[in-house]
Amino acid sequence: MPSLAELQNVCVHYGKRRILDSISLSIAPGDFWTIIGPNGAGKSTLLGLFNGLTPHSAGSVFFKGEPITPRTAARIRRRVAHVFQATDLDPKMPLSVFASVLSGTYGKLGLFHRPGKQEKTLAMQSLEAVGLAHLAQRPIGHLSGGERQRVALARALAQEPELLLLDEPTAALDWRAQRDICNTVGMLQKNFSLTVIMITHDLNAVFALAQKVAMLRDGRILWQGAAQDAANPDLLSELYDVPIQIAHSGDRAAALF
Amino acid sequence: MEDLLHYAFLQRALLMAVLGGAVCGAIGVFVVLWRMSLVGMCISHAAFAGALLALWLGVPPLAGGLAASLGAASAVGPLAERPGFSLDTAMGVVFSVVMSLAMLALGLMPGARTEGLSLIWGSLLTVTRLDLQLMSATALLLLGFVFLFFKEIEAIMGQKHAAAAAGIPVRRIYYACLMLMGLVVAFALKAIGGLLIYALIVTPAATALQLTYRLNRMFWIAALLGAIASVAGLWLSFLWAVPPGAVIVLFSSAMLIVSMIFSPKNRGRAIKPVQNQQHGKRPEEA
Repeated sequence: MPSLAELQNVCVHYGKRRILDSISLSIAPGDFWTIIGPNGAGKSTLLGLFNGLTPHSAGSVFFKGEPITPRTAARIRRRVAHVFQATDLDPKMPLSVFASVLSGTYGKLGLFHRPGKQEKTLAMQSLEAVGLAHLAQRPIGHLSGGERQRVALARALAQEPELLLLDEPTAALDWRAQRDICNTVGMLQKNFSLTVIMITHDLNAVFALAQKVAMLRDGRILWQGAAQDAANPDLLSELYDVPIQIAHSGDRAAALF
Repeated sequence: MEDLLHYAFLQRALLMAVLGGAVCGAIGVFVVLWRMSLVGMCISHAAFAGALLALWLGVPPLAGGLAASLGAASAVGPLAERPGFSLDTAMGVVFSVVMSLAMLALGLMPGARTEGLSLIWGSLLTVTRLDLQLMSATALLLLGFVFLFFKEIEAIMGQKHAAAAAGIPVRRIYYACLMLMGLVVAFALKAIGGLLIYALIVTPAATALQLTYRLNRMFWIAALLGAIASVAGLWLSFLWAVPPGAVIVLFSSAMLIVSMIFSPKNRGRAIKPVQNQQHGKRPEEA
């Protein structure tokens, strides 16, 4: 099956500092990948390669067979949605939830065009998909962290992406909100047949959601393969440099450390 | 106030107060919402330093202020984007350097330094027809920019990285906004004064933020408050024979304090619900 996105021997440097070295990954349509690794491994940098936000200094990056270069990146970015970590917002910010989600359609709409009924319908449907239609009129600064991340997922959905990038979507959220986001991501991936690449520190989310895992350490891929094979205590302990055990409850695996 | 209707120089002062106040208020919305405080401060004070240096060199201060504000706007944009670069520190250094240059130029000026001092405190009463024409053109430019790119401006607010990742040309719009700010500062400098112009940019917008959850209204409210503060300041300065720039900013700051105390947002409510005939309704209700 032809890949949706591909990294071939990609290197990334910031000045003289090497951030990523000889990264090769092939993302097939419908895959759910997670990228895991310690802080500073280069995970966010790697994720940014898939929509051209991270410039690469060597190797090749492809999206549906088309190379991602400074010239093609802006166009390709409209087909790739990217959800960042939750950040604090000013509660007085003059932006409604609906307007925030609607902005996901603006990249494809282009400059000098106003959103019409089609875009507004899409935004509303995206909000319904994440269960937040009842908050459409709420100022976005009034939402909890978990709700704002669901709005971010709705905004990504409104973009009608072919690839969804998630950069630690559950960071800085409480346990309940983390579960909500993971469940929402899993549901969206199934219902919309999305191809997803997610960075997470939550190993339990990896085992529950992902089909494939790439382990990144010091800018290099330590291991990549099926998620069930990633539940390997020796591999995980080497990745994070702390002893990790894997517990099994029925068909569920959980990391203990 | 009746005198304002009789004398041409007072009429120009009043027009500049309305136009300049409105334009400064409106551009301040970007500064407040896009968190450009340090950047805005540097551009304002760079314009001030440029105008004083130009005056010392015998060049028209407007040209010097314009060159310095646009130069600062061009430099600050790329600096702000450099990963791992401490913008706080850099802007602090730039601010100190430009203020030192401004004071140096003032100190080196021969004679009574009247024109130099008026650039510090502002001089609405010496506004010329050219000043008004330039400010009118800038107002039209700003109105056009906000009208044409409103949806992008709204998308960038508080979610800049997400907007860029969705394919919105954030950098181009950000740089265009910096250039506009440079123009506004350069053309309003003579009327409001270098030390206070940044305050007139920020305070009306900060006041508007207390009053509405709708971005389009925030632009109009900020512009209106900027104009009100400028006209009130002009009138009071005429009454009390004090520098107009200072009175304008004090009046504007008083409005901000009152709005913060009585803001409907303090109670978690908007003045009006955020509602649009299309927004917030299900497709079958639209």
